[in-house]
Amino acid sequence: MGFERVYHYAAGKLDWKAAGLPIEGELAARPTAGQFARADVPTCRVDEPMATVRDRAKEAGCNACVVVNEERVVFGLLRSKELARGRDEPVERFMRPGPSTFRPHVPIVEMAVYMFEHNVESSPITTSDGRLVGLLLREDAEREVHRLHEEHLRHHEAEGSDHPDAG
Amino acid sequence: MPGEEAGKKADREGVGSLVCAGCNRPIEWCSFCDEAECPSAICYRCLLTGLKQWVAYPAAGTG
Repeated sequence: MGFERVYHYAAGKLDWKAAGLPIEGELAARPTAGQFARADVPTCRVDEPMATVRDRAKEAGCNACVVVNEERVVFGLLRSKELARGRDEPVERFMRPGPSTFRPHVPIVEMAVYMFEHNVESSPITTSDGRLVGLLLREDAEREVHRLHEEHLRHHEAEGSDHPDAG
Repeated sequence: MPGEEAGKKADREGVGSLVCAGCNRPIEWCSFCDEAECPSAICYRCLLTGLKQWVAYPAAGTG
């Protein structure tokens, strides 16, 4: 078939997608959480003082900070409520330990719906082995859903205008 | 690690007063927002299905 280098990825196709690696085909066109997760989200270690981390988040213009280790594996999350607490105390005292994380290939529409239903302002996106890809903000997810909705409406309007029976 | 995470989530289930909105199983807290008082609480299994997040791991001896 003309392929010169072929590999067998033992962990499977879904694991490949969960790592945020490129895919082809029909599903590749669907927007995913990984595409909208902010990779430049502020991060911190568990032993840093809260005031330092709060300043870092403020400088970055973000109301959240992801707690990671030296390999960027997610240990915890500080959302706005937790970021407002403490001063000299270490992050681990106030962080949300072991937060729910989501894979990069999860459809953005589903994430937006869940974030709205659960009133969640941000969700960490990680690979299968827990490494931070970025932080998905609810505002980004909802903005994309609105864009998709508008696009869908325009598409239907265009189809309707082409229809011979369309008034 | 994925296996550990799955185990942790599984441990949360079946011991609380919350009920999963998807399957009615009792859960301790919501697997999406991690809150113990979530009006739309969902268990880990239903969440994975809802988000199309299932990841299959190879069985020992394959590959």
